[in-house]
Formats: sequence, C-alpha cells, structure tokens
Amino acid sequence: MDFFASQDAARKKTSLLLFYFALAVFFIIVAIYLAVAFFFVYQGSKTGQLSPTPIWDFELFGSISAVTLLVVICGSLYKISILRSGGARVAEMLGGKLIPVSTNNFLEKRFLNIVEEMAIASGVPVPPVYLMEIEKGINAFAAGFRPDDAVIGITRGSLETLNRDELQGVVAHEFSHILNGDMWLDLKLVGFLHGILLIALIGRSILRGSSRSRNSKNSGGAALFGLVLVLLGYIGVLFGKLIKSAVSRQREYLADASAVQFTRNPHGLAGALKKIGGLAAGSLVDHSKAEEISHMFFSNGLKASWIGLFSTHPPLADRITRLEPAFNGNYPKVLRSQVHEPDEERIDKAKSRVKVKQPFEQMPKGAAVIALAILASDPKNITRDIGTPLREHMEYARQLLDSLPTQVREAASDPFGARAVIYGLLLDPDEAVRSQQVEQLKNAADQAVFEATKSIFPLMLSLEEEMRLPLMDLAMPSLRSLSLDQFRRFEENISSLVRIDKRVSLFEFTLQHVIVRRLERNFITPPRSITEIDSIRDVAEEISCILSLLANLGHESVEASLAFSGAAATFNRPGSTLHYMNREECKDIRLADILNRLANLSPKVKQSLITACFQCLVHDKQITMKEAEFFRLLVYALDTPLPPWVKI
Amino acid sequence: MGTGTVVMLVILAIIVFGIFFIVSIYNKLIQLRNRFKNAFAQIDVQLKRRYDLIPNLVETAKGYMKHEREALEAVIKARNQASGAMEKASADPGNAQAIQGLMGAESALTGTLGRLFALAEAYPDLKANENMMQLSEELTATENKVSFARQAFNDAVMAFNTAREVFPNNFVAGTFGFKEAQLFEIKVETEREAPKVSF
Repeated sequence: MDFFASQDAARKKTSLLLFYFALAVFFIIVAIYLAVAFFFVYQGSKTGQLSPTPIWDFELFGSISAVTLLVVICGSLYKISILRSGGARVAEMLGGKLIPVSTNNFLEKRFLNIVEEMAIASGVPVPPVYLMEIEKGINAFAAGFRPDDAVIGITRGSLETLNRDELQGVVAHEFSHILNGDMWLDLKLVGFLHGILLIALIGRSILRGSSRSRNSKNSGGAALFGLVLVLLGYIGVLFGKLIKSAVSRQREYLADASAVQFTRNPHGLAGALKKIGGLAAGSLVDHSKAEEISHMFFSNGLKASWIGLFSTHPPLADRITRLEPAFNGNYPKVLRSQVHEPDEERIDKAKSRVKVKQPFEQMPKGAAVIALAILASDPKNITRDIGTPLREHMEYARQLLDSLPTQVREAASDPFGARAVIYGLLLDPDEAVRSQQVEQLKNAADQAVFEATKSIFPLMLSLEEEMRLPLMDLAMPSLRSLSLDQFRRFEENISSLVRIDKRVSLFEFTLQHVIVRRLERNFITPPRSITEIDSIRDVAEEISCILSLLANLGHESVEASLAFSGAAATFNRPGSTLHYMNREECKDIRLADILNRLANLSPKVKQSLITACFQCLVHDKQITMKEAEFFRLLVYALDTPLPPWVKI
Repeated sequence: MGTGTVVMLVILAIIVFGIFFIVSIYNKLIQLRNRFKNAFAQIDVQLKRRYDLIPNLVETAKGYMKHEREALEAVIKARNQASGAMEKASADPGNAQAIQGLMGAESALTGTLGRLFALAEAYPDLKANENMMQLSEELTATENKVSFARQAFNDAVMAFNTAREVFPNNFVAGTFGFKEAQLFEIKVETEREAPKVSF
C-alpha cells in the first residue's frame, strides 16, 4: 500500500470507528434511560403513589441523551485536543525527557543517529526523541498528529539492551507507524474511548459521593444510579477496547512488515523482539498513563491480558515467526548487566572513520542522481516511492551524514551552532553580496554565532548542492529548542540575509518557508479544525500556479506550456479549470500563501498533485537542480515524506 | 422539556465549561513547565562538558604554573562544587533553591577560572602550549553555548512565571501548587572579556 492510500485508509477507518462508537453511545443512552425510568417507577412504588411517568417518556429520553452526549463529546474533544497538540505532550505525559541533540552520552547519541538516518531516508523531519529514563523494559512509541510534529519515545532498557541493528528495526517500526497514518487513527481511538470512559468516571464519583452522605433520603437511589453508570461506562469501554485492540493488532503486523521493507533486515527487528522475550522486564512500561496509549507502543506495554482479545499487540512468538519462519520459540535469556557491549562504540567509530574515507563521489551527483532515478522509475509511480524508504535510502542517508565535515555536523546538532549552519547555507557564493550579508550578520546576529558562522562557512562551500536541504533537516531538532525570543531574532536574521540582494532565490525561499513553518508550530498551536480540501476544483487556481511555475522553471516558452498541459492531463477530469500562466505572469504568484493552502489537501488530492508535478518535471527527460529543489519544497509543504532520490 | 430540565441543562453546561476552562489552564501550565525543564537539559549537557574540560585544563597548566598551586586548587574545588550543585538542579529544574545554588557555584567557578587565566598571562610557554590553546578555545565555545542555552531557559522560565501569575491562572497555579521558577543568571564581579577571534 502506498503512502497516500494508507493515509486515506486511516481516515476512512476513522469514520467506521466513529460509527461503532456512535452505536455504543446510543446503546448506553438507551440503557441509562431504562435505568432512570426504572428508578422512577421504583421511587413511585416506595412512596405509595403510582408512577406518573409512562415507561416511554420522550422528554426524559431527550434530556438524558442530551446530557450523555454532552458528556461523551466533551470527554472525547478534551482528549483529542490534548493529543492533537503534538506528540511531545504524549511523551511528557508518559514521563519522557527530551534527549538534547547535543548529548554526550554514547547510547543516547547512537540512538539519535539512527533516528536521523531513518528520518532522512524517509524524508520526514527529524523527530525529537524522548527518553523514559526509569523504564527497564524494551519498548518504544511514536506519537503525534502529523509527520512533522511526531516524536519518538524510547525506554532506557531498549538503549541498554539492543544493538544497533535491533534499534534500527525498532525505529523503522515506529517510523512506519508515522508513515502509515496510524497516529491519526490512534488519536481518534483514544479520544472516543475517553468519552465513554468519562461516563464511568462520573458514575464512580456519584457512587463515592452517595456513600459519604449515607443518611440522606435519595442516597440509595443515587448510589444505584451511580452504579449503573459505572457498569454501563465500563461495558462501553470494554467494547471500545475490543475494537481498539483489534485495529491495533492489525496495524502492528503492518508496521512490522513495513519496517522490514525499510531496512531489508528482518533479523534486526526479530532480534529486538526476541530480547523482549528473554528479558525479565520484557516490554513492560511501568507508568500509570501507559494503559491509555498502550496501542502506540512497539510491543505490549502492559501485563499480558487474560485473553488475547484485549491485547493491543499480537503475541511475540507470532510476530517473530512472521519475520523468521525458522524461529523455535526459545528466547535466550538476556541479563541487563551482560548486554552492554563496550566494543560497539569502537566498532561504530571505526566504521564511520572508514566511511568518511570512502569518497562521496561514488554517489552520482546533482542532476545526475535525479536523471538516473527517473530511468529507474516510471513517472506515474513516483507516489509509490513516497513513505517507503528502502535500504538504499538508508545507506544513502548514512553516507550523506558521514560525508559531512565533522565540524558542520557537530554544529548542526547543537542549538547554538545550528543557527550558524543555517546562516552559512544562506551566505551567497557571490563575493559582493556575501560581504553585505556578513556585514548584516555582524550587526544583527549574536557575536559568538557570527564567529561560528565564519568558521564553518569555508567547510560548507565544499558541500554538494543536494546536501543543503538534508543539512537543514539535520539542524531542525536543535533549532526546536530555541525560545520564542531567540526564534524571533533568528527569523529576522534569516529574512534579512535572504532579502539583502533584493531577490529571493528558490533555495532561499524554501529554507525560509520550511524553517519558519516548522518552528512556529512550537509556539503557536495550529488552528483548531482544519477541514481537508477534497476536490481539485477548489484549489484549481493554486494548482495552476504551481504547475505553471514548475513548467517554466525547467522549460523554454513553448515546451513549458506543453509540459503544463501534459501535467494537467494526469488529473482524472482533465481540467478546463486549470489554466497556464507564462513566465511573466508567474512573477506575481504569492507562493507562500499558495503553499499554506495546499497543505490542507486531503491525501488523495495530494497524490494527484504530486503525480502531476512529477509529470511536469520529467516532460523533457531532464531535471535541473532548480526543478528538483522546487519539487522538494512542494513535498515539504505538503508534509509528504519523499525519500531522497537515489539510483535503485 | 420543562423549565426545570432546561435550567438543569444550562447549569450542567456551565459546570462542564468551567471544568474545561480550569483543565485547559492546568494543561497550559504543565506544558510551559515541561518546556523550561527541557530547556534546562541543554544547559546541563554543556555544563557537564565544561566540568569535564576543566580538570584537563588544570592538568596542562600544572606543569607550567608550579607556583600557583592555590589558584589551581581553587579552580578544582569550585568545579567540584558546581558539579554537585548541577546534579541537584538537574534533578528538579523547577526547584528555585537548587537553581540558586547552581548559580552561586557557577559564579564562583567562573570567577576562579578568570583568575587562573589572568595568572596564565605571566607564562608565555603555557600560552603557547597547543593543548592549552585548544582547551581554552573549547572552553570559550562551551561557555558561549551555555550562555545561549541559559537564555533559552530563562525565556521559558519567564513565560511560565508570567502564565502562572496572570488572572485567572493564578488561582489554578495556587491550588495545584505550581511554584515560581528561578531564572538562571551568573553574576561575576569582573565583566567577562568578549572572546576575540580574528579572521
């Protein structure tokens, strides 16, 4: 299944879930009504007068459904609003502590490296990593609403017990949750469940309240009512959990399968699962909130449930057998004291030293990379690549990371130096413009950052053009730890660097747009409800602009219009709604606004837009660096994980 | 529906709204508190780096500055104290006393280090020592990073403290025991010289 199809399927599944939950809520309402009606009859018989209420009282039913619905909807919305605000909140809820990107701890650093490689290989922003310091079990989770506010959580036990391959398997598993749209599903699941749970919680507090005031007249009735609510609530939750667990188990198999697809190494993942089986602490997560997001974990975070139906994860042996059919069911005992492999650090270091010596020139460069990629893949299949990084991408990412000068890489992984890296990327190769920029930086930027920029800029001159955007990605996690004031100042400096030569190049625009958009989300919660745009007609104007721009970037006058119409023809209903704009008209396009609007497209529309753009790109069988960069900008703006282009 | 039911529903709605309001304030405060605690982790990393560099620095200097035993010992002592204070602070960055303790220890350390560098001026051989140059360069870079991380921490603390004090958050903060967080500032008697790098 490709990225867009699974994103779409996740949304469709949500509506099915919504239907089930609506059904559950309806039954709960009816049951509560019956309980209340029964209570009135009982009350009437006790006081001797006959019940004034007939058994079917619409007024009573109306108010009961209103109250119940209010409770359920409020409960769901509340939980969803918390989860929506980003994965960081979930991680913090579970007692996770952010691992600083500049950490000196070997185990933490290694894990961050693995996450970075995986992120670059799959084309998602590098997610922040949270460490659950006190957890001894082997477990991990991915949380967040969209790929770009996702976080990865990992237990201390995993870091200490697993080797690099196994950790890579775990990270790949978590990434496929991100790429398969599971987080979207999770959000709704937990939200709906919480709404029903709230009924039980209210019932419990009524029960508690009535037991405290034992002598009041109605307390018997209230207690009974409370009991009914508790029962109904928990029965509802029970069914909810059944649904949740069933969905979750399927998603786990899917995530395992995609993880193997990414790493092409089933043994890493299987090894991690085996260690869970052999470790005394297993995959337990010892946190009171763990139950709530149990389905987001890598492996069962809770004590084994009494029946498999409620388990959010398939049995370990089952998962291992799918990866290694020869598995005999024996888990070698793992003791935490044995598992630390002191040799690994040396091996890791030795490896990277060897890697650096390998010339990066072995990789095809610039435009060549892209041309080769196209020969390998049919233009119409471009969307197949999205969300499915392969071993090659992973190796490419690793080579790319290794080929970066150490000083640059170190700077990028530290909030202080990361700004210098970004400033360095923006410094113009042209001497005259650059001296103006340097002057500007000297006045506006922090003195020490200015020095740092000066010292790493010469190293960055030697970077390949296609490494500039991955470098920006690499700097992102550290930039996230800027405070609001620091971010504002950084933003101003970027914008003045970009504008100093009175023209904004595509690369400069991309850098500025992506950085500001991603970092702003740290401080400003995105608007509450973004409705997805599901029709091409609604964004015909925007799509026309994008396609025309792309056509004019890579082609001359007539060819450009041909490229445009070729691209327009890929849409299902070849649009009379789309219109071509020539080079002059393209100059008036307000790109930032357009990209912001297009970010709200539904997965299906995104898919057709990307297909169209790619068609436009390959019209003349040649992709220039500019075209490639614009395409990157577009997939960034659409939050679409496109792996780097490599020869496959 | 009767008037009674309507009134009840309205009251219920108001209560629900009130609870939501309080919960959202509470969550906001938690979020801000987590943010400054995370910001402290950045300081923590850099300070640790600094504490690791100092013994090497002293070791290198010892060979040249035989007559400055006192100054060297003072640096090591201040470093150990600061390291202990940092452990306490990083266990709970929300604890104002721990942060104050760290501030004091850090100021003392910066002071003794400044004195050591001033004394080192009298030893041209030491200044020319490659190891020493590298160490002091790295120390300067680390200090820059510390001050940047400190700024981010202080901004986050400020945001938390403001959110804690404004109406009506102050009631929520008071009820749930959100304590005022301490800014992390380093005061040294002698103004630190700005690092000089020429290119």
